Amino acid sequence: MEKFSIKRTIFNILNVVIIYILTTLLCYVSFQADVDAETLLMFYLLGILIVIIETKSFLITVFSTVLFILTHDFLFIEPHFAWGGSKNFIVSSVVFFVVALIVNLLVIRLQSQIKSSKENARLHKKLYEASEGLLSVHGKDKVIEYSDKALTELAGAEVEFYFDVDGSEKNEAIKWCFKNSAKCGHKEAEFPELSHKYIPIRSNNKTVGVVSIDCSEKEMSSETEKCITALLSQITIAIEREDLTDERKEEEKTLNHEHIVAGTIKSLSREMSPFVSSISKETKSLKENINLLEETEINEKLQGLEDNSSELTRILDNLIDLTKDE
Amino acid sequence: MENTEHSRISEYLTILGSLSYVIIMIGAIMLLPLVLILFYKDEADQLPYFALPGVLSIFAGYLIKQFSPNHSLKDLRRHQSSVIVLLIWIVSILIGSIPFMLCGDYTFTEAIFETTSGFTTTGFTVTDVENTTHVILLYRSLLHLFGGVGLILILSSVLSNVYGMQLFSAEGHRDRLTPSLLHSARTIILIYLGFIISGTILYIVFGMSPFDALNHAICAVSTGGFSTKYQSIGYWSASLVGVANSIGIKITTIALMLLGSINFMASLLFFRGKFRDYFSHSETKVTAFAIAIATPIVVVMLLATGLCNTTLSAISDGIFQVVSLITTTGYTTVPNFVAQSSFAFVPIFLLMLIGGHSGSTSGGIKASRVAMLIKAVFYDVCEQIFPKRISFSRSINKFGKKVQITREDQSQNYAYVFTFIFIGLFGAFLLSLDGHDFGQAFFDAFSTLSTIGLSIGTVTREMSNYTMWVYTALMIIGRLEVYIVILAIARIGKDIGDGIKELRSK
Repeated sequence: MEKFSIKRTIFNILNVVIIYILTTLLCYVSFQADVDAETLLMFYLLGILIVIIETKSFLITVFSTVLFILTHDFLFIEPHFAWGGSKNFIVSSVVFFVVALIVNLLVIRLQSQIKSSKENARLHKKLYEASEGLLSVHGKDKVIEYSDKALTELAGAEVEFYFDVDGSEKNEAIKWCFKNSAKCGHKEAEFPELSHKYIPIRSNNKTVGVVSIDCSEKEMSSETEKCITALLSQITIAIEREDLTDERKEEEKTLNHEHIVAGTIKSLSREMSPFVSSISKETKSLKENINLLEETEINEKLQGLEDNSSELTRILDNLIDLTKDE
Repeated sequence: MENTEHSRISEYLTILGSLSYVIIMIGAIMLLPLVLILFYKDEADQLPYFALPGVLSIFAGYLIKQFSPNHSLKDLRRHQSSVIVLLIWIVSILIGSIPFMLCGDYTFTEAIFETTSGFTTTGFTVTDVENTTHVILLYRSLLHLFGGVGLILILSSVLSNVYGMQLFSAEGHRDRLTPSLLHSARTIILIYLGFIISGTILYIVFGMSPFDALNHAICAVSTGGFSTKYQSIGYWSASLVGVANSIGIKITTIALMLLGSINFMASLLFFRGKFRDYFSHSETKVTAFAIAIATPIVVVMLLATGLCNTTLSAISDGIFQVVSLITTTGYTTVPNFVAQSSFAFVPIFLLMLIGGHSGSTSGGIKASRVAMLIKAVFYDVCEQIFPKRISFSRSINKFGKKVQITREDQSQNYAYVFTFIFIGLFGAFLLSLDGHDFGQAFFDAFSTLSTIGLSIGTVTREMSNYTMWVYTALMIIGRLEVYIVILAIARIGKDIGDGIKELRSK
C-alpha cells in the first residue's frame, strides 16, 4: 500500500481534470456530429480507463466515474442540462460504474504485479552484477568496500559491515547477532524496536561479522532480504578467497625467508670454514713447535691467528646482525 | 545479424516513443486557440476543427507512449538525434496542419505550407487574413511561438535532462543558461513570455486592439512575421492611429524583433546587467554593425524612390525594414519596398543572409557564423601580408570571453556557408523550373531559406502546389540549419540500405 502524499493527490486530481475536459470536449464535438449518447458513454469509459492507469487510486476512480456519468447525463441525455435520464441510461450507468470498478481493481492488481516483477528483475540484475563484480575485485579491503556499495544499491538503504564485533563500542544488537549467528533488529524477534536490521555473515559454520541495514526509510521486502542473503554468501566466499590468498602469500613469504636464512648460514659457514681450519692448524703447530721457533716466527704466527680471529669475529657480527633483522 | 536488425527496430521504436510527447504537445497547441471562443461566440463553429484533432492527437500520443519501449535516448547511435529532430518537425507539421484542412479553406498542400511557414517562423501565408476567424489567426501565431522558441526546447521544459540534451543541441541551440537543461528551458520560456506580455501591453497602449496586440507581440518575438492585416505593421499608419502611436508601434516591434533575434544566453546577460559582456559578444557587434551600415542606405533609398515622403517616416521605416530583415521577421511598413529597392538591393540581400543570433528564434546563416567568417578572412589576409614569423591568435568573443577558433572550426564554417548558398541556389533553380523569373526566384529562395518570408513575386495565394512544396522543403532546411536535415536523411538512408541488405542475405 502506497503512503498518502498530498503532492501525489494534487497531481492525480490535475490529471483527472485534464482527462475530464478532454473527454467532454471530444464528446461535445462528436455530439454535434450526431454521434448518439450511448456511444459517447464509451468515450467516458475510455476516459475512466486512462484515469485508472494514471492515478492508480481507487477513491479517485470512484469519484471520477460518478463525475463522468453525471456529466454525460447532464450534457448529452435528454432532457439536456438536467439530471435523471431514461431507464436505459440508468442501467447503462450502473453497468458503467461496475465495469469501471472491476477494471480499476484489475489494473491496480496488474500494476502491483508488474511493479513487483520489475523490482525482482532489478534485484536479480543487481545481484548478478554484484556477483560478477566480486570476482574481479582483489584485496580484502577492496572486497569489503565493493560489497558495501553493492549491498547499498541492492537494499536501497544504508549498509554497514562489522567484523570486529567484540569492540566495546558496538551496540547490543550487533553483539547478539554475532554471538547467536541469527538475524535481529527491525521487526525481528530480538530488538524489534530498532530501525536497523542485523544479519550475520557466516563462513564455514562460523560467524565472521555482522551487516547492518537501515530500514528507517524503506521497508525491506522478503525478496530483497533473500537477495541480500544470497549476496552475503557471495561476499563471504570472496572474503574467504581473499583470506586464503593472504594466507598463501604469508606462507610463501615465510618459506622464502627461511630459504634465504638457510642460504645465508650456508654461505657464512663456508666462509668461516677456512678461518677456523687455519686457526686450528696454526694453534696446533704453535703448541707442538713452540720451543723450536724463534720469537719473530712466534709473533708472525700469533699475528696470523689474530687476523683470522678478527675475520671470524666480523663474520659472526654479520650473522648476529642478520638475526637482529629478523 | 538478427541482433543488429532487432536493435535497429528497437531504436526506431524508441524514436517513435519520443515522438509521442510531440504528438501530445501539438494536440495541446491545437486546443489553446479555442479559449477565444469564449470571447468570439460566433466562431463556435471552429470548435470541431481544433478540438477533434487536438484531443485525438493527445490520445494517440498517449497510446504510443504507453505501447512504445521505455528505452533511454542516451543509447542511440550517431546522428540518430538528427533523425529524431527531423521527425519531430515533420510530425508536428503534419499534425499541426489538420485544423487548416478541416476548416475547408485550405487544400492539403496549402495546409502543410501554412503550418510549415508557422513553425519555421518564415511568415509566408496563403491565408486571407482579414477574412478568416480569430481562432485561425491565433493558431497561426501560436505556431510561430512554439516553432520559434523550439519544439525541442518546449519538450525539454517538461522532460528530463537526459532525454532532452542531445535533441536540444541537435535542434541548433548552442547554449545552456544554467547547469540544468530543464531549468534553462523554463528560464528561456519565461523570458519569452515576459517579452510577449510587455509587447502586448505596449501595443494596446499605442492603439492596437488586444487581439491584434497579442498576435503581433507573439509573431514579433518569434521573428515570424504573420500578421492579422494585409499591410502587416504598415496597417497602423500615422493616419490611422496618429504619428506618435504609429512610431510607438514601430519601436515596440523593432524592440520585440531584436529581443527575439538575440541569443537566449545573451538576453540573460543583458537583463542581468552584464552590459560589457553583452556588447563585446561577437554576434552583438555583427548585428549592430550591419544595422548601422544598412540603415542609411535604406533610408536614402526610401526617400529616393519616393516610398517615403518625409525624412522622419523614412528614418523610422528604414530602421524598421533593416531590423525586420536582419532578425528574419519579415514585417513591413512599406509595401513592396524590396521590389523597388534598386541600389539598396545588395545590402538588403546581405542583411537577409546574415540573420539573427544562433540559439535564437531567427534564421539566416546566423551572426555567429558571419563573425567567424569575417575573423577567418581577416586572419588569412593578415597571414598573407605579414612576415611568416608573425603568428596570429585566432579568437572570437563569446559572451564576454575570448574563445579560440581552430582551423577545423573555420573549415566547418566555410562548409556551412557554402552549403547554405548552394541550397539557396538549388532552390532558386527548382522555383525557376515552375516558370518563375530567376531573379525573383533567387531572392525568394534565400528569403525562405533564411526564414524571413519576404517575397518579391513568386509567393502568392495562386502559386502552384509544386512551388509550395519547394518552399516547404526550403523552410524546414533553413529552420533546422541545413546539416540536421542532411545528416538525418543520410542516417535514414543508411538504415534502410542496411535493412534491405540484411533481408537479401536471409
